[in-house]
Amino acid sequence: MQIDLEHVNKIYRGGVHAVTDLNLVIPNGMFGLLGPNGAGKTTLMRILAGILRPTSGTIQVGEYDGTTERGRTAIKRVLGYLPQDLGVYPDLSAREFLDYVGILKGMDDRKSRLRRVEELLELVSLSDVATRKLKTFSGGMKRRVGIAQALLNDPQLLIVDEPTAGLDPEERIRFRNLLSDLGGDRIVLLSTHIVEDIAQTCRRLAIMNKGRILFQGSIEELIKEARGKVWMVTTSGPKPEGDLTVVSTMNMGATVQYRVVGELNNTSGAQPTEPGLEDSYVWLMREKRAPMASIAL
Amino acid sequence: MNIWKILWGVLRYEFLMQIRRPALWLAFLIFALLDSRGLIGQIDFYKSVSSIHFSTLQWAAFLAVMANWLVPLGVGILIADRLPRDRRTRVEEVLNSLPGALKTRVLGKYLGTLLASLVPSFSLYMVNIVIATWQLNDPGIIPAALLCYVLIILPGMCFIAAFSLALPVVMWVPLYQFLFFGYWFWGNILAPGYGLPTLSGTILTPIGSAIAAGLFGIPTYGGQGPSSVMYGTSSLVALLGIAALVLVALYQFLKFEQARQ
Repeated sequence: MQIDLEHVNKIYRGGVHAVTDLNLVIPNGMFGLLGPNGAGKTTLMRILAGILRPTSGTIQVGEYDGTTERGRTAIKRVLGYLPQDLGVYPDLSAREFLDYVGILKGMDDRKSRLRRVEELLELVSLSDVATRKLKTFSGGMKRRVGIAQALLNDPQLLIVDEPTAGLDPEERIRFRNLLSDLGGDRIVLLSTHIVEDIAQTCRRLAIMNKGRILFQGSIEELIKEARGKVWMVTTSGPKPEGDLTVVSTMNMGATVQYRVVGELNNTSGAQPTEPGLEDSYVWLMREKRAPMASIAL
Repeated sequence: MNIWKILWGVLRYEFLMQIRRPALWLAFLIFALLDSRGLIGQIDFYKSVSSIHFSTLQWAAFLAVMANWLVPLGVGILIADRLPRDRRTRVEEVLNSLPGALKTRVLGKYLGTLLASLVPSFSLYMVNIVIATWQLNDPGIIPAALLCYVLIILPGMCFIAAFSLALPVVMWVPLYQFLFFGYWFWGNILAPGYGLPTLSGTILTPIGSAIAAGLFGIPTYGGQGPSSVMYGTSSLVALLGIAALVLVALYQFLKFEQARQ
């Protein structure tokens, strides 16, 4: 399966352009969608999930046309969707909620549906609290219910929007690994502004800002673009100067070590270093900004 | 994908969620106290008026209308938050990404919440019927009462449930509940001859007095209006027909709202 988006635009009432002339190809496997808050990622996810309709453009998900009602319904049959802000019915138990979602996903056979619910409760470690009402669940537990509901129908297209928000570090790692496992034979579209989540799971990604795609390709290609632009500067004096962004600051006692991305005014005492995904993302965001808007520290 | 199984599933869970609400049971407990006292008083009154001679079926119809004085208030108010709740709890986002059709969801929600809301009121009704059976010493009232429940009470309940599900989609829920409360007394309890224009005594009265008058020949509210079978049947058909139209309009509105998002 592959997703093809061509010239997709989404203009909300009031004339807000959330997505502008978006062209994107999403192949099988894990695919990351990275961008700052307000970049248009959630709008794109919601368009792909059939919740929003694009103002214009074409959307092809495998053999289905995502711009028609029939196509959207067909896509929903192979879709698992975890929204950024997952809501649950507070008076249902986790088991009941998953069963309800399973019914609406068209899982007609009661026995196999309930078996699948139990499997997923086990997978997200909620079997012990399966009969507890959801209003008693913590944010992280609700998130896990959300993950389980998205996986109920063994979806060919899994869209997860900020899935690790609200999870503790251990849960985050577990969930990332789960997504990686799932990404082997389907499309898993992971939208986040947490660079680490993408770095650990995706080989390919797209970066969005202000409703536009700034980059699409592999992580290696993105890193290649930032090569030679990332420096480690160790100094006991003032902060390094130039058209640059400080990515990290580490106080070493007598000296301070800065990791910077950009052009240094003075490279003495600065060591070029291999960029990571976060550096490359920062570099790209700087490059695609208007020159006057660049952050100079 | 079997649409009937989805409908049944939605109905079942909406029923469960509604019937578990403590407010539902609390409301009907209060109605039970108010209703039963009034009911016993009314039976005593009618028994003491020698000019009125009710048959078993007429007693049952009379009891159905009596039971319907306040109970629909509870049903309407408690159904009003069901659709806005999906938005408030943000479940709507997940539901909209599922292939189960919107119309199936709307219908399932309507039937599930309506049936659940009717459980305590039906229990209350049956308690009243048992009391009346004992007071009137007529066991035939029980089957007659079941028939009257279907013909007199249910159409009005379907009518108000449809409005209570639909209107809060475009209106703040507490405002709807307040207006509904006012409507109930204005359009059902206020006597037609009181001087104010009212829907009381017309075929659009969900309290069921028009159906009871037309089909069972018991006196209409305020003693006004015709009481032909046609009159009762028109009321029954109008209430059910309007309920269906409101549901269709609700579905179309939600579909339109989804499309323009």
